Amino acid sequence: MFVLSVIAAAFFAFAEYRGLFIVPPDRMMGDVYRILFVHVPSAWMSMLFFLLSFVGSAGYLIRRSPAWDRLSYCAAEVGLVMNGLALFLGSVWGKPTWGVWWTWDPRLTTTALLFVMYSGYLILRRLINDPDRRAKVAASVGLLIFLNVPLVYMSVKWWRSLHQVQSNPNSMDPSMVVSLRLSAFAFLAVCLLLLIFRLRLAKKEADLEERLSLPPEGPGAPRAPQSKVTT
Amino acid sequence: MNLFFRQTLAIFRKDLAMEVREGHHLVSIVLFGVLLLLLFSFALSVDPELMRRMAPGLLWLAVFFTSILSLSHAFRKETEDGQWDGLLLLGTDPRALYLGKLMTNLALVLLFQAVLLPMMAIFFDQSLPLSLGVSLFLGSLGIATVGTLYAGLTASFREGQLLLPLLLFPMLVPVLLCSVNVTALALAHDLFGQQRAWLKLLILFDTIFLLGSLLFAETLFDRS
Repeated sequence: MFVLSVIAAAFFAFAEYRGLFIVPPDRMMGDVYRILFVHVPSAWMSMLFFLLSFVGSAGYLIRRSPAWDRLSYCAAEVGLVMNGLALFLGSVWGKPTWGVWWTWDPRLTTTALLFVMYSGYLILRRLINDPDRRAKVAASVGLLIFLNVPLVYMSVKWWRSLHQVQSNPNSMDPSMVVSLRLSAFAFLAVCLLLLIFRLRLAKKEADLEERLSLPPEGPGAPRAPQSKVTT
Repeated sequence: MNLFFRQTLAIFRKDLAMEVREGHHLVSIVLFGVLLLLLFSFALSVDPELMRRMAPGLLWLAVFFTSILSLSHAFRKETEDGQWDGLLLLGTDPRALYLGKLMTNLALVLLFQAVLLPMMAIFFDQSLPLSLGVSLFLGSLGIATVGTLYAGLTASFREGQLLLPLLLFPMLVPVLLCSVNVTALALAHDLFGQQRAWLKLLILFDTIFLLGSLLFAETLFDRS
C-alpha cells in the first residue's frame, strides 16, 4: 500500500507539474485556464464516486451485506470531497473568466445541490446507532438521491432556459488534452487510494462496533468499556 | 388487498381525528404561513408590480415552510407513545402505515394551500383561475410523498427534526421549480400552453417517488 501511495503521489505531482509549467498558456485566458487540470478531474471524480456510492446502495439493497454499505458511504465521502473541491475551484476560475463567483448554470446548480444532498446523507448516517437500520436507511436515501439527480438537472435547466448565459467552446492544444487526461488519471489514482484506505478504516470501525456490542466472553476476554451506572 | 386499504383508511382517519382534536396545532401553523407572506412583503419590496410577479414563488415558499412544520410532527404520537410498535404488532402493513400517513400529510398541505392561496391573492392582487387546482394538487402530492418517507426516517431520533429540512428540501427542488412555474403560468393565463412540460415533469417526479417510497416503506417502516 505504501509503495502504491508513493507511486500515486509521484504520478499526481508529475501530471500537475506538466499542467502548470509545460503546457502552453491559453490564447484567451492566459494562465488562468490551468485550473482546468484540477477542476475538471475533481468534477469527474465526484460524479464517478457518487455513481460508486449508488452502486453500493443498490448492492446493499439486493445483497444485504455490510460490505456494500461500506462501499456506499466511503465512496460518498470521497465524492463529497471532490465535489466541494470542484465547486471551490470552479468559483475561483469563474471570477476572472466570467466576472462572477457564481452563476445559476444548470450544472453548477445541480453540483451545489448534490453537495447538500450527500452531506445530508452522511449526517443522517451519524445519527443512527443500529448498524442494520443505518445501512437500510442510508441505502434507500442514497438510491432516492441518485434517482433525483436527472430530475433536478432537468428542472434547473428548464428554469434557466430563457436566459442561458455562457458557453465555452474551445479547441484545445493537443498537449493540453494530454495533460488533462494525465491529470484525470492522477486524480483517479489518488481517489481510489483514498477509497481503499477509507474502506479499510470502515471495516475496522465495523469490527470494533460489533465487538463493543457483544458481552465480554469469560474472565480473560478483553472487556468492553461500560458506561458507569449510578443509582 | 381489501385489508390493506382498510388499514390505510383506518390510519388516515385516526390521524385526521387526532389533528382535529389538537386543532390549536394546525391553527398556529396556518397563522405562521400567513405571517410568512407578510414578512416576505416587508423584506422584499413595496413595489406592487414586483410583488405581483414574485407571488407564485412566495406562495410556494410559504407552503414549503408550513409543510415542514407539520411534517416534522407527523410521527410524534408514533414515536413518543410507542404506537409504532403497537400498530405493527396489530399486523399493520408498513406500506399501509406509509400510505395512511401520506394521505394525512397531503390533506394537511392542501389545507395550508387553501388558506395561503386566497391570502396570496389578496396581498399580491391576483385573480385565481380554476386551472391552478391541478398544479396545487400535484405539487402538494410531491411534498407529501417524499416528506412522509423522510419524516418517518428521521422521527426516531431527537436531531431528526433538525435534519428533516436539510434532507427534504434539496430533494424537493424539482417540485418547487415545477410548481412555481406552473402557478406563474396559470396566473398569467398561459397563452402558449407552456404548462404542459412542467406538469409532465411534476407527474414524473410524483410517480417515481411514490413508487420508490412504497417500495422502501416496506423495510423502513417495519420498525420504529
